[in-house]
Amino acid sequence: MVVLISLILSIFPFVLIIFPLIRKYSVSEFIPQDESSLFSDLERRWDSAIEGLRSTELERMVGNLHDQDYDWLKNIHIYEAALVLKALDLSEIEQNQLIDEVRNEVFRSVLITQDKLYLKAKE
Amino acid sequence: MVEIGQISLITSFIVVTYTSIIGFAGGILNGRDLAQSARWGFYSIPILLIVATITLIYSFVTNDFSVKYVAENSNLAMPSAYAWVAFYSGNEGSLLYIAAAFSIMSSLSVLILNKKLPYTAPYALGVMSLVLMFFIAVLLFLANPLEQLPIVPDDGKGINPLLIHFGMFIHPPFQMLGLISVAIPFSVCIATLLSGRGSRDEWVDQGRLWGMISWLLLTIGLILGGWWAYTILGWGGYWAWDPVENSALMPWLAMTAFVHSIMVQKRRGLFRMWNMILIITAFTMAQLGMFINRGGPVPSVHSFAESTMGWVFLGVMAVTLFLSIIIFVFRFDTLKSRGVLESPISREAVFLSQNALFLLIAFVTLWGTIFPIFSETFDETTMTIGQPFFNKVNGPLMLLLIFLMGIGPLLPWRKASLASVLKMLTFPLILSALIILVCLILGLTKIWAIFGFFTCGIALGGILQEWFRGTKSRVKRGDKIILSFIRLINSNRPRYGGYIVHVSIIMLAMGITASSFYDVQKDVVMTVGESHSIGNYTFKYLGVSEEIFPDRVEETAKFELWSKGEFIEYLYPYRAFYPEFRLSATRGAIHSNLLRDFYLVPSDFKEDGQAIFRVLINPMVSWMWISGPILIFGTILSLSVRRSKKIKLPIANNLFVSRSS
Repeated sequence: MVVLISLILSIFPFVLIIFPLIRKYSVSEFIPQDESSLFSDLERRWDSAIEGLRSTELERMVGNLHDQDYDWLKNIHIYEAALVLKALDLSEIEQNQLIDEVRNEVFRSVLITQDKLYLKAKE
Repeated sequence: MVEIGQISLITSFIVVTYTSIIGFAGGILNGRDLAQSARWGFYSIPILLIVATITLIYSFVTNDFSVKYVAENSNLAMPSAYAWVAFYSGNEGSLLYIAAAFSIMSSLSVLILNKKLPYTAPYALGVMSLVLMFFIAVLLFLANPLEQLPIVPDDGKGINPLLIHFGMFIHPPFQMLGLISVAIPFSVCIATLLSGRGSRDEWVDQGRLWGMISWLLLTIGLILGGWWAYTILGWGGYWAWDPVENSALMPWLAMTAFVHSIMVQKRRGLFRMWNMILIITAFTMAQLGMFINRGGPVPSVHSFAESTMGWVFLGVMAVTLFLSIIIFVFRFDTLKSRGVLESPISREAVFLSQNALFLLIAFVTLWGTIFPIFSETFDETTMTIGQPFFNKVNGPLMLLLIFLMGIGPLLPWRKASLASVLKMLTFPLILSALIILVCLILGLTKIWAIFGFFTCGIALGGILQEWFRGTKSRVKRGDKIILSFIRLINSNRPRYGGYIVHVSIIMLAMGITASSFYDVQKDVVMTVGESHSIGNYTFKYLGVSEEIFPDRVEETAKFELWSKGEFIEYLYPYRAFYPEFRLSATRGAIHSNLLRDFYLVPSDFKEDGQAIFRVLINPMVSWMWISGPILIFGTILSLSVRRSKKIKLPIANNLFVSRSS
């Protein structure tokens, strides 16, 4: 019994090791996106800008930000998002759609629908 | 059965050698088949090491004293439940535990890394394999826990009596896993450098995830260690700045700096080099901890896993540090920050100051810990540095840290105007002033203690203010208060999870401050029937009983405890003598409530019926132990991902998907 278990324990890892080396890969097999590609980088910067906008709204909601600081921070994050969109070379319609989506999502996520600022922005 | 364990160890060594070479080869050659082969091989190592672990535990449970390690660390009198504790109570077993636990955790990390960072993962796997290979090599060639004796003894030597405690089931596993788990974010960081991918912050999310997990494990280990020392060692304290305690604290400090600093890189693309330096420092300090713990030259009360192989660990630490620095310098140009620090009044600036303080405390602790080596080398006399040095130097620095912890999260990223700072600091300052007032009314006048409570007040005030305002704005929408608060926390889990962690740190700091400055200690000589009073407490000595066990002789005293004329409970402090170990162990009896602990420990029972007891009143110690679960909850909350709507970018036609294509 001991010999059998020892044999299984010795062979099992080598089966795991050898299998990927001898199996055939199909041409259509999924190639993962490179984490260092320009698109991945832009995606991260985009997410960071959106997160920055959400965070700015939240800071304002909880009263940590002065109006002046709020405006400055919001512009910085929108500028960063715009830079990403520019780098992506999207059409103007696509850019506008995304910007609208960002505005709606950021405002919705921090629940400031009653905020005057939001009403102003809607007008 | 032991043979199966040995075969598992040998096989795991062969496999890990393969995965370390093929992991790097897969990364360098961009060979998917090679990387997958290494990965699948790596997944088999935990299974092999778990088998080796089971064989050792089985030997403990069946009292198989033919295994040298079992004979040295257990005996027939040991309760079977302690087979788990005995497994890692010695050097060899603890190394097997570390290897097995690390193999499980690193396999899990490789599984995730392969999905999130597919082109960096093979390098990370290579680095983790090298770390694991070292441990398995030590197990096979220097400290084999499955080594067998030529002559089988009838009974074993027994487990160290101080380890017979519930806390030992969880404190050492967390502590050891915490130390070795630093190798995972370290591997991610080194893999990023080796693959030349540091310039686009690819590794940040995974570095943060594994850094936080490692930090959590280290924190749990430290708190449990303090709790164990307090409840079992019978000296009434929880932290003695012992070298082994310090060696666990130093990587924790570096990791705490890292988990904050990595957020700056994520949000701003700053501190790229700094984060690499922090994680390399943390791993070096974790290795230093293992060196000190395993026969290092510094005297320590923690001698459970002492051996002569400390120098092997020191050698590996030196090589790892040297190679890390070489790789860092080689990839220096890829680590320039994306932006600049725009203002000293910003969250990132506070994080940077906090980082500097964390490292300063870590290096002060390091200096105090290794000073005996220098004194012995240059002066031929061993001088150790005691608690007063650490308390005087690190105490104020820690208070400053808590102050920064209070204001940091309130500041926005990038910059804030003075008007914003004043606006957000008003309530915390009022709360702190109130706390000082209460302290003065209660007659607490020690300046450092008041400063401690003041900084805790600022930190707490900031958090409460934000929670209050956030909840209020939701209540205005018609939600109920509790629901509003839960929704607020849920709206930004990383942020508010972090706040909950900060609340637990404030509780910890309050407990440490109160118990350090306002503890009362008294030694009393008592005869049966005699009563004494300290503070509000009156305790009456009712007598002592002696009981003989196979492995020890126990003398248990019985006390009545009264407070303000009201009976509270009976207390049973005891002393035990273990002839096999020539060791006396005392176990204090503790009556604990939220305000203070009444701690009674026997020092000596004399033949004439007199007994000497040490009585301590330690304020707010229970706050420290309560902070542990809160901290765990906060960390898990901040790590949990809330599936919110993500605004996805469309893939533009002009961008390549793969860097290599």
